[in-house]
Parts: sequence; C-alpha cells; structure tokens
Amino acid sequence: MDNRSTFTYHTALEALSAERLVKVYGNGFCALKGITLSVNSGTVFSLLGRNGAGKTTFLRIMTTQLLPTSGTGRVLGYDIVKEVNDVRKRIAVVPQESKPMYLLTVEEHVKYYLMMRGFSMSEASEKTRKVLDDLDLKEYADTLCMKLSGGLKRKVLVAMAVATEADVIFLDEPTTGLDPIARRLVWDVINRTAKSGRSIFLTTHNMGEVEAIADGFALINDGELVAQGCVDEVQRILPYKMRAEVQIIASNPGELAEFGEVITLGRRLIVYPRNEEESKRLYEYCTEKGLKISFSPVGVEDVFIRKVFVHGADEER
Amino acid sequence: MELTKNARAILALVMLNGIKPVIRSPLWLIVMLAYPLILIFFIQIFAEYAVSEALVGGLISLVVMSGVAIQADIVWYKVELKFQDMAVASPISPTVYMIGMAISELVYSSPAIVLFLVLMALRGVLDLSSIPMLTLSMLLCWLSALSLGFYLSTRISDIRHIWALEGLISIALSMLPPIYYPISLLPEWAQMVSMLVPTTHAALLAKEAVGIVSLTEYQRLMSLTILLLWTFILLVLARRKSVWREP
Repeated sequence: MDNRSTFTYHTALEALSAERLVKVYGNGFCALKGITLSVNSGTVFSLLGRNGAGKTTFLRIMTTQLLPTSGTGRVLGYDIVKEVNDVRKRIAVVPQESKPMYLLTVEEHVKYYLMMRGFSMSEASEKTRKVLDDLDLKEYADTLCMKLSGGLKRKVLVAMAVATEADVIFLDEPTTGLDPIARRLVWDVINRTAKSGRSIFLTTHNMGEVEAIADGFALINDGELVAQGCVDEVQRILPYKMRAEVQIIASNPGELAEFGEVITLGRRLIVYPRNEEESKRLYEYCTEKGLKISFSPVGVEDVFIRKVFVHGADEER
Repeated sequence: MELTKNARAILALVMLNGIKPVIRSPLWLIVMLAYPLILIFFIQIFAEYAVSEALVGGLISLVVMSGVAIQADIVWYKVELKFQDMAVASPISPTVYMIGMAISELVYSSPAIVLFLVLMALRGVLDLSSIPMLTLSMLLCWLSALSLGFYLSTRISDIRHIWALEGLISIALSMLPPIYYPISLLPEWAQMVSMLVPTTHAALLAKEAVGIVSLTEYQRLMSLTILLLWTFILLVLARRKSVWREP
C-alpha cells in the first residue's frame, strides 16, 4: 500500500514548489537563475513572461522532462529528481506548440493516451466519453484531427490531459497562436477543469489570459522571478492603484510627467498617477487640451510593464 | 499488474502509430511493398533464375526498412507533435515506449512480409524446416535496425535530416550488400567489406535456411556470431545512449 501517496494527497497544500531552481544548458546559457516558487493546490496558476524568459524551461523541469542543474522541485510533495515515477503518475502536460496526430479521431486521441498511461480499454473509453461530453467535444468524437480548427486541436490536447484525472495539469502556452474565439474555447476548458478541484499550472505571455483564468501568477524575466501574487491583489505589488491611457496624438509625453510616471508603449501612452490629486489634475489637463483619456485600475499588464518593460529599459540605460 | 499496464500502453502505441494510420492511409503499405517488389520485378525480367534469392533479400530489406523507419516517427512525435514530451511526463517507461513504437512499425511492413513469404512458398523455397532460422535472422536484423533507428532518433532533431539518413541507411544496409544477389558476384575486396555489414550475414543465414546457398559449419557460426554481436552492440547503444529525460 502506498502510504506516502495517501499522506501526500491529504496534506499537501502545495501543488508544486521550487527552491533555488537553477538550469544551465550545455552551451553555458543560464535559463533559470534560482527560482523559488510555491503554488497552492486546487488553483489555476500562471507563469508569465516574455519569450525566452525561462517559462518553458521551468515547466519542463517540474514535469520531469528536463533535469535541473541545482535546486529542488516538488510536485504534490514528491521530489522531481528522486521520486520521478511518483511525480509522473500524478501529472499531465500539454507541451508548447504540441499538435494532435492527423490520422486519429478526437476520441482515439484521448482513449489511446489514457491506455498509454495504464488505464484499461473500458476505463479509457468511459473517461473519454465523459471528457468529450464535459468539454463539448462530443460532436467531434469521430472527426479526424486534421480536419479540426486550431482552437479545437488545442482543445483536444487539453482534453487528453484533463481526462487523465491527474492531480496537477501543466499547460505550456496553451493559447499561443490562437484567435480570440479559439482562445476562449481553451480558457473555458481550463476553468471547467479547475472547478473539479485539480491544480493547473500554465505558462503564457498573454496578460489578459492571466487575468481571465488564473488565481495566482508569477512573473519571470531573464530566468529570475520578479513578481508573484494573486491576480485579485495586483495593487499590493505596485505602488499605484490606477492607470490612465492618454491619446498620444499632439501631446508631449514630457508634459504629462508632472501627473505621474509616464510610459510610452508604441502608440499607447500610459500614465500612473501617484495619488488621487494627480489623477484629477491629469484629467483636467487632458480635457483642457482636448485629449482622450481613460482610467482603469492597475492589472497584471501593469506588473509586466513595471517589472519587465521599465526594468529592462532602465538596465539598458 | 505492472505487466498489464505495460501491455495496454504497447497496444495503445500500436493502435495510434500503426493500425489506425494504416487503415486511414493504406498508401504506406504500398510504399513499403513497392521498394523491394520493384527490384524483384527487374530481377524477374533480367535474371529470372535469381528471383528466389531476391525474395529472401526482399524479406531482409523489409525488416531493415521497418526497423529504421522508427527514427522518423520518433523524431516526428518528439519535435513536430511534441507527443513524446507528453509521454515522458507520464507513467510510461522509455522501454515500453520503444517496444510499442517498434511493434507499430511492423504493422506497416507485415502485409509485405506475408506477401513475400507467400511468393517464396509458391516458388517452393519455403518449408517448415526453414522457418526457425529464417525467423531468427529476420528478428536479429530487425532488432539491429530498430536499435540504430532509435539511437539516431534521440540524437537528431531535424526531421529532414532523419528522412535523408533513413534513405542512406536503407541503401547501406539493404541495397548495396549482397542481400538480393549472391555474394560471389562481388569482387573479393567488396566481399570482405560486405562481411562487416550485419544484413549480409542475415541474408546468408536466411538463404541457407531456404536452401539457396550452403554454408560450412564455420561460416554459419561466424555469420550468426557477427549478427548477434551487431544486435547486442546496437541494443546496448540504444539502451545506454538514448535520451529520455533531457540532461
């Protein structure tokens, strides 16, 4: 009897944890520079970062695909290096840019993947029917995956992972390259899975995605963790509560600096007033100049802008 | 219990990489069959007397192609579909994965193998007594090609390189050596070189089993030893050097 698994299942509050995780690749590139991170069970957690920040490396290490150079990692209390088989029984992963097999139907994908993981044919068939039903894929059960849209293909891959009933599901950039409708299809699946009490760890560089589906998030930049928190409590991470987006045409960003911190992002001009008084003065200034202005509470995008964009620009200077 | 789970995993791999794709795209069966059959067609036209020997060569060639083909599928699953990543992060072991993939490759070549056996029987070169040695030589040949293919698949990540390599390996192992034709047709130096290739020995043993050539006790022992040695070396290489969890 696996006493350890019973003990862990009932007491582990952490779906996964990493301590000073370092990864140096064979070519000397340091992808992770001592990541320490903890994710609670039963939550949707997102690791956010730009391309090449180290998100996939972290996910591949935690899912036992890649060995860390140093540091420790645990999934549901099991060590990812020393107790690899225990970890693998309890996780499922959808890798970045993964694709279904063209000549298999949706149903076959899920069923054979479950059998590969050791389920009997009858168990696999039953779980497949349930997951296809739950994820609104029933009507495509007999459709070859080569005939599905990009969004549905991703949905099939997520269904494969969900059907395993693994305690922790890892999704590496599950919506990259998808149009907004397809992206919503995948979000819907993630939300439904999370409601069943399982933990979901996903990586993304889409800030809207984090706000739409995640409970907690961490921001990684150049292999280092630069922010971590709950999506609903972003204001604790930042020194500002509000942001203002100002029409950039005919305005001199320098002039706006007296109303708060000004950041130009392409054709967008964002101002972070430090207090209500500055917000009020900014509004009056824009009204007087005839510039469009809109206020909104700070969100995950602002954490990204502050910690990655501004920090990166400062470092370059 | 673990054995049952492994058997299910192997069955699933055979279904998803072998049976289902073959049913939906039977063109692969024709591709597999066409290569050796075309050679036999020309041999039939230009040297009818050598057809029986060529049929044995075709069998050896089929098992080599079946073994080597694993590399393209594994790289396809690893690099293009990322399916292997899903397998690594699951309870399936690399050995079970390799066995499942290997057997699934046989699905593509099985109809061709059966056809060649039928043709051999029709020509009167196959009887019950020849089956054990014929099976052994084919099995060792398949294991060698399979191990080589599996090892290469874990070292090469560009599918275009794999396709090129697959063609070259098939030529080096099943076209150039004396598989379809008698070894005696080669000049002495080429005979020496061909003795280094495992398929030469598999063909010699298979041809002797069906009574096309006769080997001395020493020659038979030497061929069997060399073939076993190659199989052992390539199996160890595949087991030891292949990468499942990346370092």
